[in-house]
Amino acid sequence: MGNKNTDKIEEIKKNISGVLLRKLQVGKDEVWIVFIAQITDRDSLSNNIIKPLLNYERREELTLDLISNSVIYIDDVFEDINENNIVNYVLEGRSIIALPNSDKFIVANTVSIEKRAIEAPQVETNIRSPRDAFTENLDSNLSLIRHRIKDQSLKIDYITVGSRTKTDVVVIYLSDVANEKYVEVIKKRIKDIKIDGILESAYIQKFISNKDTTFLPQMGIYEKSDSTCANILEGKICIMVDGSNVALITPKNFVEFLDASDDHYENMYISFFVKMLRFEAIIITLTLSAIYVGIVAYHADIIPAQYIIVLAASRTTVPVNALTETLLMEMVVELLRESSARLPKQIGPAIGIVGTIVIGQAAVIAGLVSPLMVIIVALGLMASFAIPDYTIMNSIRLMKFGMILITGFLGIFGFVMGFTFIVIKLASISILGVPYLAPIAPFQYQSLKNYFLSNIVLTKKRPEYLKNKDDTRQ
Amino acid sequence: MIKKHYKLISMVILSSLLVGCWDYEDINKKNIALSVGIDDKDGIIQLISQNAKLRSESSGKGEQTQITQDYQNVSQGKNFEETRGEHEYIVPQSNFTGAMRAVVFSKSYAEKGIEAYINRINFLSDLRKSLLIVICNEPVKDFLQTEIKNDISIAYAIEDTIKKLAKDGRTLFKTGQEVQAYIQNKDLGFVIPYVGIKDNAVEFQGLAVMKDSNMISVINKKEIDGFLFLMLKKPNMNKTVYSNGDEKKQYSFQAKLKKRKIKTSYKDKKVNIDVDLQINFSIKYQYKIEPLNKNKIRDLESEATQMIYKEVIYAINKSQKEYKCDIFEFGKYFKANNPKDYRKINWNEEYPNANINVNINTHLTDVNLRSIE
Amino acid sequence: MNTPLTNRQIAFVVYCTIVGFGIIGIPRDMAEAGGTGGWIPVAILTVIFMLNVYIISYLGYINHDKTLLEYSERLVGKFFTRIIAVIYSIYFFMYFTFITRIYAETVRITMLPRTPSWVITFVFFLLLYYSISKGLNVIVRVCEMYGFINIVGNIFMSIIIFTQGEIINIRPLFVEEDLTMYLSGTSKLIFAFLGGEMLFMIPFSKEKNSKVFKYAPAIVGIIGAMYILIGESAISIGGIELVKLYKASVFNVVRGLDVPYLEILRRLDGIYIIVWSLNIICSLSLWGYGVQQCINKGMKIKENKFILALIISAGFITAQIPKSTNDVEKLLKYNGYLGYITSLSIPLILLIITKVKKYDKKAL
Repeated sequence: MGNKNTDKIEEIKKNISGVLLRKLQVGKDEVWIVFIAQITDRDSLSNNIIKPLLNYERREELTLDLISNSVIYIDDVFEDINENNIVNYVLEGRSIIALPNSDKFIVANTVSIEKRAIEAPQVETNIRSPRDAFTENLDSNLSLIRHRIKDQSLKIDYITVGSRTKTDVVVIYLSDVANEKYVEVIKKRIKDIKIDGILESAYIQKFISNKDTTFLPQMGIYEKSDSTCANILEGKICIMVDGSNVALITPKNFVEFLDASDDHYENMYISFFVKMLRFEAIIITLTLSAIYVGIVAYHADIIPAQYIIVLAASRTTVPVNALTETLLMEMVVELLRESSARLPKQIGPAIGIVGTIVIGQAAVIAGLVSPLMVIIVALGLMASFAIPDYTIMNSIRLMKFGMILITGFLGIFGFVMGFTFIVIKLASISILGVPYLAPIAPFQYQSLKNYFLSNIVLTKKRPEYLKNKDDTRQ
Repeated sequence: MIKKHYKLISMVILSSLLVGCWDYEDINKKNIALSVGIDDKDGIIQLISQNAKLRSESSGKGEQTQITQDYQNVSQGKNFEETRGEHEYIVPQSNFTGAMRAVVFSKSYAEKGIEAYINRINFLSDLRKSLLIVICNEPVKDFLQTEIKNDISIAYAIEDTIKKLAKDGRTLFKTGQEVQAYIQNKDLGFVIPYVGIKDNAVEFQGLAVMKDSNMISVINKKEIDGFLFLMLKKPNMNKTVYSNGDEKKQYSFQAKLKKRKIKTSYKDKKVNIDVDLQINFSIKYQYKIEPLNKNKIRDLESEATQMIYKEVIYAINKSQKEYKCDIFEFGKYFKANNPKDYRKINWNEEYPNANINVNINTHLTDVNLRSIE
Repeated sequence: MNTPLTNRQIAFVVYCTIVGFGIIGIPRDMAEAGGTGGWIPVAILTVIFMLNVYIISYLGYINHDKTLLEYSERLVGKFFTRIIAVIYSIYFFMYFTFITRIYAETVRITMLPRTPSWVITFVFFLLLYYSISKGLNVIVRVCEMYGFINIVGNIFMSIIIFTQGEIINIRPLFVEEDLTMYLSGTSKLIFAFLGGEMLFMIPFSKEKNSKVFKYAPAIVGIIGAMYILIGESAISIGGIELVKLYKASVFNVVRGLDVPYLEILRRLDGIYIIVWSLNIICSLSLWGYGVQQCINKGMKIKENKFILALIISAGFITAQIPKSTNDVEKLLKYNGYLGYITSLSIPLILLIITKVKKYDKKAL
């Protein structure tokens, strides 16, 4: 004798491979248990569901309510009546308990998937900061956040995205601090995503960013839980995706990309100095090669007179002109960078040595490039690693080539034009209504001072440009 | 509309980038001029330029040579354009003047007037207006070809020597722009450093006096002190005084100008100028050690004051009687203090008859840590 | 659609428009207007223009959230609004086109001798198209940043120049018998102070901009002080005879300086050109925005990129028409006479009408 539930279960067992069906006989009643072995905690299933059912010796007739209320030990159960959902539950890893004579069925949470232990962060490395990084499992990530912010207004909203992957996407914010409009917009954009699969948080990032300004990053990626919680406390919104070890924070400004978490933990003066250093690093990466081209080819009288002769003498053997030389060297450096990111660990150091010796030293001796060019591209490469969040550096590396070309075309005038173009582009982006260049333009003194000093004692209010509901911190 | 055709537009822009630019020229493909000189040979203008040699024959690859080798180009013509044209016919690269250090005029050219070339320096954007202007004793061709023993090349030697002396308060440093400003002011004359070669080194030989941008005379370096006290901001004089007229017992002193006040007035159709010099005076050491006491120091001070007074009066007399030209910028002070009178008179005529009084106050600052009894 | 501007941003808008092209001829204009006492006409004009900017911001504040062409209908009627729109668009367009052309010529002479000036103009107009198409808020944010750099650069430069000059060259500072010459010399310097009427094109907001009456005149005062500083420092190098020789006197004077302790920054005029270019970019974006607003609001069309592209192309073609720099300067001089109407007369007339009809009491 069967009913719709059992028919459905039979169908599932035929179509999907790996589905196991355990039929228990408890007294006079038959109990069907359906699960997929690879994603089920089989110990929990045996001990908490099968064992108490088989040990059931009471006289009462076994109904579904009785099973869910009094018999099974599992902590997370609920009942459902729609048999079309059985497939989804089983694919999620839950176990279905059905009785042939009952319309409803029980859904028990026996999900167990293989996951990594909490390890040190790989992308966001700092000197002084906690080292618990996110893993790919959403529950362990949420446990890290819940552990740090024990506030009742911390809202964690689940949305399911992806028709085939059915990934859990979570929006985390403080309901009495964050701006409601931003939360609404973000949630609406996530719900509007129609795609078959979400594999990493980057997919969500691309979908919900502004369509016309995707060149520059608008969301920050975070791997550590303390920096994520610091941002949530500021009033920002955090998006986490199950299966990704990177959390997204929005809205994020240009200046906040230069902010590392250990600025807030170190001495105020040293963190001010290091922030200035990072601004310089961005300017160096963007402009140094372009300035080299501008000076060598157009306005050599800017540099002191003795060095002009040394510079000219060192370039006499170079076969190409300065613009081509710069572009070639920059291409070589980018190639080095890309190859060192993909190397297996054993070959890594060797390539570093090959890179410096072959490309740097030997090329200079062979007379292919001038020594000053090697220093400049090396400086640019080094400076590009000084920024904590590497996503902004990717955009700047691309813009660097544009600057080199325009400076090669029109000298320092072209440099000013190209730089202004970039500044206008930055000034025109606004994420959820927050201008990208705030607090520099529009100028907000308090927020700028708090940003530079990075001193929690002196930061009495949250940043003004976020338009939070509640700005007081202390 | 633009989004549809952006491919076409970007192709146009990219191809124009690759076609080539008008001004693009690497520095190593240019001719780096180190100094330029103008000479006059029987009415023909000679342009001499010293250019840097980028490839040196003796050094190997990777060696840094400190000595910049240079070579000379000489070209002649009736005027500057023709001369420059002749110069361009023999030089294979385009000219780069950003590393230039000095402009040298020869004595014979300076006597005919340097205004034309000064205007050329100031109005053409090729030449830098902040270059040092000097006048040299020898013909420029030989002067610039000398191999200097103590500096990188002669252009550097000229600029370094004059700069060091100017910093020490022993001469003036005149750039092209300043010279032009003086020429435009019709009431004043000016001075230019006068150099020569001695022993394979550049020697500062004095100051050339320019009236109406023609060189009329040279102030020898031995007589220069009085002039410096009236012209420089911080002149410096190191001399010795004899104690009791005894040659063996000389005292070395240093006199520095602390303040110079110039008051002008116009009375009875005569210009009156009162120059007030306040001088800081310090005794450096004695040739033969003697005990120092206050009276001795006072004697020395008054003797030094007399010496400075004599020099200054000599300078003023020379400028009034011999040069008949105001090289001390008294005209500017007169214009600043008495603008109405200045507009009525002709300063060039009034200056040689002006009544100039000099008053010197010396003040002893130290005896170089020696004890006074 | 635009968020309201803060007071500081409005002050920088005024700064960027006024200090555009006029600043580099200041020493020569001062020397011609009054000799060594040339700072007196500048001071007189500063006071006049502080009042002027006060009037303009007062009119803008009473009619908050509206620009000139929207509230002038109420004041003077439709016909005169059309005429005002035409006058202002011609005025802004002339400045927009010819200042670009003369800037390109200056860049060509000092930095890129062989590049034809139409290339420089073309690249510049492309950048202007990009910046104006982004809207007022973006232009103003860029003005905030670049204006600050420009103020710091100008003050820094004039201090450097002053250390190389001599005080005796700028005396006598005041000669009584020249008083009439000072007053008549103000007409030569008006060109350097035009630009405050850009505030007519910016909507003020009631809550945020209540203190604009302090900020806008204050920035004009700062501009006047800066003009005097730069003018006097340039004159102190070689006296008034030297600055009278050159048109772009600040550049030429700076080029002749060799500051020994600044060994790395040898070519001071290169740095000054960069600092000045930043200001020109902001000022021309604002002029171009003014043209766009006048045409849109005057002909009652909606803003779209096609009209902007038309304006930019018309500007580019017009900029090539004059054959030499002298023609451009003559055109700019005539435009300066138009500035008497747009900058001085129209605000006064509108203020009188407002006071007479008591619109300020009604609106507030």
